[in-house]
Amino acid sequence: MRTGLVPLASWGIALIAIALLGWLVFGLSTLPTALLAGAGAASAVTGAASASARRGRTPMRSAGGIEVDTDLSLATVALAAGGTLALVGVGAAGAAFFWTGLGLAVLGAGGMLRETVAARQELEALEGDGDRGGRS
Amino acid sequence: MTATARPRLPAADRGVLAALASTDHKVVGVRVALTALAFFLAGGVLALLMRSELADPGLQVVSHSGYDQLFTMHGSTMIFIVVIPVALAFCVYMVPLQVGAAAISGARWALAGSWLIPLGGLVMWSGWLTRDGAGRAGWYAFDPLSDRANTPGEGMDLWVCGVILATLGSIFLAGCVLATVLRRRAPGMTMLRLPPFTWTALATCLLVLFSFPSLVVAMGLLMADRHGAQLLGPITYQHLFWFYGHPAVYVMFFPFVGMVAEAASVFSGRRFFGYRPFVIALLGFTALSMSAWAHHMFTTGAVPNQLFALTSTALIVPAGVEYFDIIGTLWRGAIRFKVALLFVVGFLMQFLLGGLSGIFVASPVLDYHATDSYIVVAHFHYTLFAGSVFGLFAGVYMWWPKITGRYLSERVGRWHFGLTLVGTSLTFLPQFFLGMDGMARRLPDYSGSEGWTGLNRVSTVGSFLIALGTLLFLVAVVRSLRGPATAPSDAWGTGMSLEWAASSPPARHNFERLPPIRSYAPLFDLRHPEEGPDDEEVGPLRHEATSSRSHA
Repeated sequence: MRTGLVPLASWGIALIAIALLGWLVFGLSTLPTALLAGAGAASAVTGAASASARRGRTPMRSAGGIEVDTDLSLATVALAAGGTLALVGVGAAGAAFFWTGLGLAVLGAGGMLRETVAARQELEALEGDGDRGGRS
Repeated sequence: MTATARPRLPAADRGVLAALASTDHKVVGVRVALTALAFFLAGGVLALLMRSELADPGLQVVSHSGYDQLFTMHGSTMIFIVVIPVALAFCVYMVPLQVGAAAISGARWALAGSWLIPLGGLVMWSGWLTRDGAGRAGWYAFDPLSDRANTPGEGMDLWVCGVILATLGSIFLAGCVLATVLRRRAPGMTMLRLPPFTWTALATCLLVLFSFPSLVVAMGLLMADRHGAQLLGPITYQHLFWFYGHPAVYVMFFPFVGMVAEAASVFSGRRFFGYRPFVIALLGFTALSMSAWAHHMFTTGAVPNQLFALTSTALIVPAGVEYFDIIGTLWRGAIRFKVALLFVVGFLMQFLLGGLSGIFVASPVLDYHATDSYIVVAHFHYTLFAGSVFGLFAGVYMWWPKITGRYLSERVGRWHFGLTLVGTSLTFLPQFFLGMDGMARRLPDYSGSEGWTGLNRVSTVGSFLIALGTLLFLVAVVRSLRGPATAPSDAWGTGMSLEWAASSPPARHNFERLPPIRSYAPLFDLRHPEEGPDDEEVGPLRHEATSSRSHA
């Protein structure tokens, strides 16, 4: 078993089977059947996707086994804090919280985008160094 | 060959900035664990207040409304901000190490998740500062009890926001752990060579990813309802809530079973017994645990009770397999009764009571009697506190040297264990009898003529013993952190999985070199080459490529 396909897909199929059993034999209503079968289908799809993706690739990017990541991300913290304020604004505290939070979240998202671009540039620079050094 | 470089990106140091914004999975895991510890202490104080209120009939330590807030915030804090996050914290910290990865997948998502949980907790707790007080509709916030007409005030709104934030944080963390297992395993680390704890982490992440979104939806709809929309009905809400709520119980169980399995193996010096049945049972366990949620709704009359009684009762089969695997690991092992192993034994005893009482309430006939009584309170505290927390401490005492490079005091740890064992038994065992005698949960007071005073006093004394044990644990932590870091890589000398090949504490990118991975216990294989790996998938050794991995 070299990928996550078998455990995730078999688990998902088991959920779908139980949902069908409940629906067909025990008269389970639509919402719970859909919740269970939906979770099963999502798991099976996740397993299939993980099996088809090349293992070791990072979400950011990878090439030739070189990985570039960021050790610190204040932008992510800003996004989380901004999202929190915005949600509190919507749910309880009003517009001032919402707009402040939204502004902070936008700043954070921009910072994360900048980090992603910096990482990509760094990766390209490293790849260039590797090519000049004769690395295949 | 893999190399990591990041010159034009912000560089990590060990300062405040790193503590706030590091993407290192170990820093993220520790941050979540510290958050959970802080809220554990706060939630524990709420529990002591409740137990003080119930120690004698007629006491008015808090008002009735205050008592509603206490049990709501105690349950919400412990579930949303303490036990689930601390389970995921260990997954975030240990899984990349156990699969031989240099980092966690989606590190920035993990960082975001690690902040959403404490922020969610603070938002939830900020309800105490509002005029009507904190949320007070129970940790489940059933509709229509939780709507604006029945629970007015911003405190409840803040509670809803806090739950959404903490749940999103948990989802982010689980997604990163699952992606790490699926995509970042070291060469040679096939799925059937994952250590037991990593398998339990995988099961946990499946539950989080595919059931927790329903809580976010439920809370979103509840928030809309509280702002005038009419989207929810009681049964719809309960389905959405319990589709999260029951799997959440296993999120608060599986990682601790994994810790117990690892600790049993390390402190008996034996490879984990029955690995493959354990994995199969775990996946079956996970599927059944997703399918049992409506046993919380037996008394609504709106669900097919036979189906959910069947799936709930069937849970005993995989649970039994896991129990016997753990006991089989200890059987004839070279047992060393370190504190971690004491907590393993405590877990096996205590969780048995919690689990078996769950089988009784999985029967609709008995559930009609037990529902909303102290039987239920005793049952879930035996599983979540007397069970899972014992598993947690088994993991804490075992992995503390790995995380800090230092050991916790065995002497203080034994007192901690003893007080916690006696305390939990005194606190929760009497609650079964109180429930059988008709004491309803959420009751802020009772009459002396009910005959419940003695058992309630015992329960209250027990809760303070737990608090004393927790204080001793904090003493052990402080003493340990003030001492020198002397732990070697394999801190106990009998490590099984890859985390014991990393330095203590591990370096930024975890490993300088990895041993060959030929089974789920590669360090055992190194120490005992004569035994050969217990694995049918032995393939070519690819450790040379792995061991040449360099990290900046």
